[in-house]
Amino acid sequence: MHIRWSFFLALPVGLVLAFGGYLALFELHLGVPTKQSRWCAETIHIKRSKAESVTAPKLLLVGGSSVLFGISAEEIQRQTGCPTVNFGTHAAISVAYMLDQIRKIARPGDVVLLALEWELYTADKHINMDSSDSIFIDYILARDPEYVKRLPWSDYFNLAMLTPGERIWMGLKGRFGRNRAAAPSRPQPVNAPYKAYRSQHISEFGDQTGATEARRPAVAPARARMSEVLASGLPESPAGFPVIREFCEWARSKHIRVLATFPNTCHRPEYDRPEAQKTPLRLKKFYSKMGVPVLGEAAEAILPEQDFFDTMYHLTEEGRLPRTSRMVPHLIPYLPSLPAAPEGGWRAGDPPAR
Amino acid sequence: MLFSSWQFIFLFLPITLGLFFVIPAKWRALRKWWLLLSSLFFYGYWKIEYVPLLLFSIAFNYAAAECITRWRGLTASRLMLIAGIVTNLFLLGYYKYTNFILETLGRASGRTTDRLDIILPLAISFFTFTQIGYLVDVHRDRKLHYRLLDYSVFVVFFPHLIAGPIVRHWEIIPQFAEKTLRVNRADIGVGLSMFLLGLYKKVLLADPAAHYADTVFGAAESGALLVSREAWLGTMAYAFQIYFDFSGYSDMAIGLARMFGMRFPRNFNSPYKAGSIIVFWRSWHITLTRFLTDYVYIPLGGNRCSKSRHLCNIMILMLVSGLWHGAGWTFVVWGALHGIYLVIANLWRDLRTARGWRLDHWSYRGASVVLTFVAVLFAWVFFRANSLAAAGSVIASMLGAQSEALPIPDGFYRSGRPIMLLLLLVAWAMPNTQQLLRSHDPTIEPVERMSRWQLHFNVRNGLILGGLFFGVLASYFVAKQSPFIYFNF
Repeated sequence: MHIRWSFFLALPVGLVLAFGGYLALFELHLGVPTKQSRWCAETIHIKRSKAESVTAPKLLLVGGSSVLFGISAEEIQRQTGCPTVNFGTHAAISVAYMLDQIRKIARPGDVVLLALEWELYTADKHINMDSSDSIFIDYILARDPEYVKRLPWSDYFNLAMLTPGERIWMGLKGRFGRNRAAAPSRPQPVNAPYKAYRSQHISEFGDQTGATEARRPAVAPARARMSEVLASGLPESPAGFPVIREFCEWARSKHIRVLATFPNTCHRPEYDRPEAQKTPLRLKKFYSKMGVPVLGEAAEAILPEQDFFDTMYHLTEEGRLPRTSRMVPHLIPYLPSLPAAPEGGWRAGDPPAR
Repeated sequence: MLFSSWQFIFLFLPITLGLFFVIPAKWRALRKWWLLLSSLFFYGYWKIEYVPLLLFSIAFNYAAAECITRWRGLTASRLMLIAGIVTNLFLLGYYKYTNFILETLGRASGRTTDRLDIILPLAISFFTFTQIGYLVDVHRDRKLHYRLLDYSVFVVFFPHLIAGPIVRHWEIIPQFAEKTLRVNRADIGVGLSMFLLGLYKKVLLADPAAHYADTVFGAAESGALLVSREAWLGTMAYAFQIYFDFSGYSDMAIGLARMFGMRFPRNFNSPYKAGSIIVFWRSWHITLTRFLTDYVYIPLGGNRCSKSRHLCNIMILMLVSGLWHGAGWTFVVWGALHGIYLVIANLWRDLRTARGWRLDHWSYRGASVVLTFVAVLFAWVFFRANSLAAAGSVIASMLGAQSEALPIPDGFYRSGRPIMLLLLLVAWAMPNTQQLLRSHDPTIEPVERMSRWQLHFNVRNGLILGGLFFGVLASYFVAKQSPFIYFNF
């Protein structure tokens, strides 16, 4: 029996061809909108449009849903006169992606306030392929293929290999099948049950609105979930640090001021223990090494349970305004010099000329 | 180390095979030493603490065999054989059955017993049976004698060490002694193809089926009542998982041995195509059936005794087979069910012969295959479930007895049905690996059934085999590697 060398050579060639074919299918499925990604896309679009429309130096609030629900850009602008945009989205959106968006809209003279959730400091640099990131992954596959193509080679490879076959098939059906693009959002009736992630709840400042006592859902047990990162400390080399450091260096080179603060978090007894002080201290050290001021103390952001409704990061409408007001005095020294505010503060949509 | 893991495929196998190549063929002893050391490393990679147990087992059995040979004609020889078998069974019993026995005794006496912290050494059922067979053969044929190195390599040779095939000394050790123990391109080509086909069975067919089986049996074990069609789906999924997993493993083992220039016995021969349970057991885990037939069934009298004794022997054989697979009542029930099937099949065969019925119409043969498959499916429920209660619940659902059952959500049945149909098509309509490679003598035994489909070593097939490997690479990213089912036994 004789076996030609060509058979053995064909084995790796077959593998390379299959890999190439798969990558081609992966590329083809990018950019097809999905229903799941609609909220993220619309929310980011609203926030970007608002930020791009402001020509004066502005304040950008950056973080996940603790910023979205818990800090009022409208209130800050009213009290300080500084045009403010809430760029809070969802903690599933990677820090790298959040900061990438900020690089696109921030201009020299702007101020960026980072109020990142505790877990974001430990998340992988660009993409974390576990299930908690499925919202983000679906979003970039469906709505931001350019970002996928700009990923470092290793992340791109990981993403391509880890994307389930069903997801690729869905994308290909959307591209080549009948029109299956997600339908535009329909406005909710006034008395409809409140659903947190609907873009119609985003105000022109980028704030999430409508989580009032009358409309928000009954209290969910998830609001008392514990943050392991806060309770037990950060790992030796938190995966999120490098990308934040890179951003701060970039901002300094562009004359953009970066500030940091702690995320609004639902109180737990574990946070009163001495070991829970390690993470805030570590973050303060991390930011101060880069010359980034940290506003306030972690204790100011750890708020009573009744101020939250469905998750440990989602402040109620009633809890948001006092929290914002307490933050403003910390912010003012870092904002550009302001003209005297009219009586009753600056009104929404009425940023002062600079 | 799993055959399907990247550590095995990209590091262990190339290094072991490469160095085997580099050592000149005339230095056979050195090659055997290399195989011995690399196989021990392969075994110790899982848990190095159990390597001494394996070495003790080899040394003890070799010494026992030497004693049996030297004391020929004396009662001591027979006593040594008994001592050897008892010691092997004691070790197997201690590691595998202690907790089972304690729990059973505790339950019978109404007391709760704590489980002992005993970890089952990998492959102990396989290397124990291999060596018991050797002791018995030495006692039967006292001229039998091998060098310690040959014997050790025979026991630990990594392709069969963990989950078989259960090889016999007379079919393996002579191959070490042959001058042809050298690698060549043809053996590499045939071995590699067989290994890849087995790998694809495991990763591309068995592992996806596992998801459906785990979901259904997991739900039943947590007390959920299943809808009938989902119980059937989960049971079919397990039937395909275990078939493609174990036959895939066997193909990989046979292929690996062939890469080193050796041939292994066949272990599977399309068992789900069997038209009777007797044929099923001639096609499923063939080397275990062969072992139990030679060392349990025939010593009990086999079929050369009264009919009732013959049927009783069959029941004993299958109960031993059940207990060999696992220490639990579910395995005992599985073995007993197959024993009952075999008894019925034997009685039916006798009736047919007595009445002179010639039932060879295609419809009869088709119905026989389906009936055999369904019978095997019901038995798999006990094999897979972790308790008799869970097995009973799945069986009740399959029979439609649970009227208030709720479906498992998320389109479970809708997504699983086409996959099961595809796997059924592969199991029933496709030729098996040995048939695909028939013209290259993949196993020790010749392949009887011809297939129109033959794997030729041309560029097209090379591209297909290489292309499918991409699915294996992709699985490294997506799923945590699942071990082969028979690693548990």
